[in-house]
Amino acid sequence: MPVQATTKRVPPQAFIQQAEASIQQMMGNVPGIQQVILASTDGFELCSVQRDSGQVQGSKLAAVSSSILALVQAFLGEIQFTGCQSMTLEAENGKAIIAAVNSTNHPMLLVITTSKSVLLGHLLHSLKACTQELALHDQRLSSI
Amino acid sequence: MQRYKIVFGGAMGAGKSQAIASLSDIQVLATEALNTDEQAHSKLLTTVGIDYGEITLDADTCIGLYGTPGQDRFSFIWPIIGEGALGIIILLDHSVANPLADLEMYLHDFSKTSTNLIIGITHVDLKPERPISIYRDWLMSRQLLYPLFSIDARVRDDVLLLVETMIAKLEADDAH
Amino acid sequence: MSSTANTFNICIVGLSVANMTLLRQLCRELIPKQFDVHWVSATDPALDFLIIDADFVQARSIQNILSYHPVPVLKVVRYPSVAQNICEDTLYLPVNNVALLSDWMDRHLFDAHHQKLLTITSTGQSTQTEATTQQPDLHIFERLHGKTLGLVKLVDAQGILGVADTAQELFWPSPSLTAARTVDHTLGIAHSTSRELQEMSSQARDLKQWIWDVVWHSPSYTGLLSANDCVKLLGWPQPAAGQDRHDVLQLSACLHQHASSVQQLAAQTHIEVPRVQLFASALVAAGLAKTIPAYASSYPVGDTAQQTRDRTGATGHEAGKLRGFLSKLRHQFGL
Repeated sequence: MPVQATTKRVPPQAFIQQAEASIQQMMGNVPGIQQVILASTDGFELCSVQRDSGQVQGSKLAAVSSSILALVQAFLGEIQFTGCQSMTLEAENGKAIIAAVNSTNHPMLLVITTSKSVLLGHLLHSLKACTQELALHDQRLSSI
Repeated sequence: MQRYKIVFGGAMGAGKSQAIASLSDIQVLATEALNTDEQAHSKLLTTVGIDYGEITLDADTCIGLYGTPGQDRFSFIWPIIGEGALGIIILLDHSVANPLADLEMYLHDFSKTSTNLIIGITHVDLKPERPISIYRDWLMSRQLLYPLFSIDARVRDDVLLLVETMIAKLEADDAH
Repeated sequence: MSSTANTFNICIVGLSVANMTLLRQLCRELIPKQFDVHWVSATDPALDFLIIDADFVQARSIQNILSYHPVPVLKVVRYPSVAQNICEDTLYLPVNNVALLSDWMDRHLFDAHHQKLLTITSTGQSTQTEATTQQPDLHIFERLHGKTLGLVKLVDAQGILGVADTAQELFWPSPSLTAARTVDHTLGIAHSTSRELQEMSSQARDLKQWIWDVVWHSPSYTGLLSANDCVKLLGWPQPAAGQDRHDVLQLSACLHQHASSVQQLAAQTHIEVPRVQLFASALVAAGLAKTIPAYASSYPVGDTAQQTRDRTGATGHEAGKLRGFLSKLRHQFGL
């Protein structure tokens, strides 16, 4: 995704605040979400919202997730699939989703960890709405 | 088919992706993202996964060239990628504020994965007042011995010097 | 006559009595009073400064003296042909402007602290002794690596090679220095001035690496280490491209494994002994290796490569596969 050369590379604080609000709304709508991290595609944690304390350190997760997303996108490019939206990882004790936030100005990703029992369809539907909202926030605030 | 691996590690902006591109027979598969840490380096894009290039020697033999992301928040990847490598080429940027700190960190981490480490110092022309001897003195004071050369990662022959050094060390190891 | 830091030993050659008297008087006036001035012959080993009729400076005897004992030389022309009294290193009589002569002497005879410039020899004495042997000397490089000399210039019979900052381990080559330049027993070092440094190439080089390059290409250093001398590697030299690179890396990789004698290295690498001797000498000259007693090396002196392989058990199918792969890799890149 091309980046405008004149855009500041780090999203403004106003965006972060709106992003936290959108994420909290999603967590309120979908039972079972344990932690959501918004990160830059180069692996920096932008904000983190968690239901309980004791969740995984956000900064490390941001770095790992950005690597995974980049590797998966490269893989998809090799098999000529376009526009990676999200990937779902299922483990014995929970699920994890890494989703791209397709913002022109500040490419980002969301990392969501959930309990095993989360309703995946409901989660993916809310996730899609959330990422679209984040992209709109970013577009609006970056043009100010 | 026999597959071998050479890994390029080292500091952000030191020229790892460039070095792989100068050797690879294929277009390098890059996993880059927008660099938001302009304080660390001003470049627009940075590797966050791995770079992958390839050298095909013949129908039976191929070498994978793996480039790692340089920032230490990606250090979890280094031992994963370094596992089973013929050797690891560490590139350091001479023009950064504290290149010796970089040298210490990358040697500390990569030496756990491989004993065949070759060090290349890049961007020497950007900080001519800082002598190259600082790396040699640092190694000697710790009684460490590694091949260490100043190179330009854009120049294929310079990158080949590092590869040929790796070959020479492997041959010497093999002979003993 | 002996030379000390507070004595100037000056020789005046080829001038009339009147001009010689005049110049003696000027020297005494212009050289600071804390220095004693002595008048000596050109062959005096303690000579510090030569004033000579310009017609005599190319005489073989004078050139021989200057080749093993380089000192500042002021040529004298008895007939004025230029507006200024001094042009380059030539004084045109009569002296109309003493300040010009004073400035010349300041630049050539004294350092920035107005102390006498000393010529430093490999023996560390401030007097240059006559060369009794044509063998080059590695001790001169030991002094360079000592980091205490400050700014020095490297000179030999062909002229100045460049200026080195021994503390920073940097070397600025003379603009006239070519890549093919070699050195020999006439190599010497002397204190340098910042003015001389400005006349050098602006591109600084790593001092150790430059020493390695120049000695590696100087055949006169071949015999400095014997076949039985043992060497321990302290740092890798960076080789130029071509066949040199193959040999240098092969030898360095072997030494990286363990300290070795020259003979042992030659046997392991199948490189002829004289070439390995030169390699080892260049490493020691550059401070990238040191000589050690034979008992301190990891291999018994005289062990052959085959005995080494037998002892370590480095045989087998895997080893063969790797060797085959490395050959293919070399072939691929033309290494």
